[in-house]
Amino acid sequence: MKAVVYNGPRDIQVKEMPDAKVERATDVLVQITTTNICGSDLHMYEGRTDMEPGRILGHENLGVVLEVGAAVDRIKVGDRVCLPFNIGCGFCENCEKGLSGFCLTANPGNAGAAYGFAGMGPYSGGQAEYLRVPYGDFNCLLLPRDAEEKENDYVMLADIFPTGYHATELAGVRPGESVVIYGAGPVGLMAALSAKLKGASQIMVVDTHKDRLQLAEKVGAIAIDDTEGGGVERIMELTGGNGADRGCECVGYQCCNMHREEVPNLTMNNLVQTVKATGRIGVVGVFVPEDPQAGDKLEKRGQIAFDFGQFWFKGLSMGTGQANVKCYNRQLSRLIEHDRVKPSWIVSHELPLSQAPQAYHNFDKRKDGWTKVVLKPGK
Amino acid sequence: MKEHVAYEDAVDVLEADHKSVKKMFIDYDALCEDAAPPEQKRALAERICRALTVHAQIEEEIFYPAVREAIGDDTLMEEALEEHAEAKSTIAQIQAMKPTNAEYDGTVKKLAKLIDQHVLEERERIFLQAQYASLDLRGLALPLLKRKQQLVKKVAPRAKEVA
Repeated sequence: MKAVVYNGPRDIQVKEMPDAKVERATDVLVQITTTNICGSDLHMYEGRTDMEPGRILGHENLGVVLEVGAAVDRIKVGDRVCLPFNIGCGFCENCEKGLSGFCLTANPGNAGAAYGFAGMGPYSGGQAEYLRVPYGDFNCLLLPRDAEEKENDYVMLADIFPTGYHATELAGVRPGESVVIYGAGPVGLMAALSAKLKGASQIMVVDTHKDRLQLAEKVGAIAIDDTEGGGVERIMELTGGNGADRGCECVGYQCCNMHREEVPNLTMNNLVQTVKATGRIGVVGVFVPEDPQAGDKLEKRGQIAFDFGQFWFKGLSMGTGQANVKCYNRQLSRLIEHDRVKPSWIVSHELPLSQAPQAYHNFDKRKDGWTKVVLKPGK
Repeated sequence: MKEHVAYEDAVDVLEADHKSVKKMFIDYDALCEDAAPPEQKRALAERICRALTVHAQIEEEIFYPAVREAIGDDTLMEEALEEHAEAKSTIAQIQAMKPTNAEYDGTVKKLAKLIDQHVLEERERIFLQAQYASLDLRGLALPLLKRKQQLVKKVAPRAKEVA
């Protein structure tokens, strides 16, 4: 099968790989019809993780079931399914509690497994023609009947829509509250959409990319362009000097200042400043336990200089970590089915799998207009 | 009264070591960057070496033979043993070296790389297969812990070394 393979930093290739197959009786084999490039793929692409060369990337996957293992009861051949990026078993202590992003079975020793992701188990990614889905009955989200026409919407259920929603959950957004979102990348935009769904009164999205900020405005957010600085002041002005009720971090450890230099504590400390006293911050941007390639001394050790004094003084609280996609994907799918939301509004490029290398290159450069790339392996 | 064992299974016992050693390696890098005194670096490097020595031994005496029998994958287990051998020889080099030696930091960092790679493979291949096999991973936690406690005493530094 054809697949997007990681060769090394900024070097990926579409090449022939052994076909994915059913390996265990609980597996499902999916023919991928839509698979996205995620911002977190870029951490690997840039060589900022311990991703091993030779592995297939891709954790935002949707497709049609081609084969099911002997122990699969629910999912049938021909079903159109979307796969949460986290691989859960469904029966461990964490999965039982709905924390499938921290499954104890699928990646023993390290809580949490995913497709084609550094340190998250040996599973191949879905930027390929076929994908092996472990514990298929648990992991496959069977899509509504209109799935084929709306694949670009439903595919967002694999990661970014639930992740954006999770940011608002971690932050505890409630109707009528104001929310500040750092990052207008796909996840930040989904957080803005989620905050709108939850009835936030004021949604402020901070970024330096004008194309992305425009997309935030399309879902009713207030775009705050921090290119010239002054983002913090603008938020304080919009919230009457108090700061927002809730804050979402949707950037992660490679966040940059206006000069495109990495400043790992920038967004976190801006949130401490712009979320009002007793407010809450949800952090879904990726932070890593160590980052040997980083320029920043603390960041190398997985640390940031965090304004903890101010955080404590304001009585702030915080929720962190990857989204447990299965907690949200079914409900969110119904919003798509009933045309309440159209998460494909952020898609900028729909390309065949063969063009993945150019797509990675342009997306990594944050080239103007490259917001979200959807790959179509069948085309 | 019977002593309570908090570890769920053998994987938890071994992973606790992996995580604690990983943290020590990150701390070691930080000491290097901060140009810490050689003695401070030596103390940490020695702790890492002792922890890994005990860890490798309980794996080789108890865990690996049980897994090998259950999964029947000799190639995989031989690879793991080769990685252990390489790590052990690097540990011996560190223990024989003075912390002021120009090669000292580099050798500790080399060990960190070897262990990173070994842990990754152990998690993704050995633990996963062991979990799928008919192997009493819960039961194995007990002998692993017992042997670990014995060995920890054996490799513990003498009083003068600690001071």
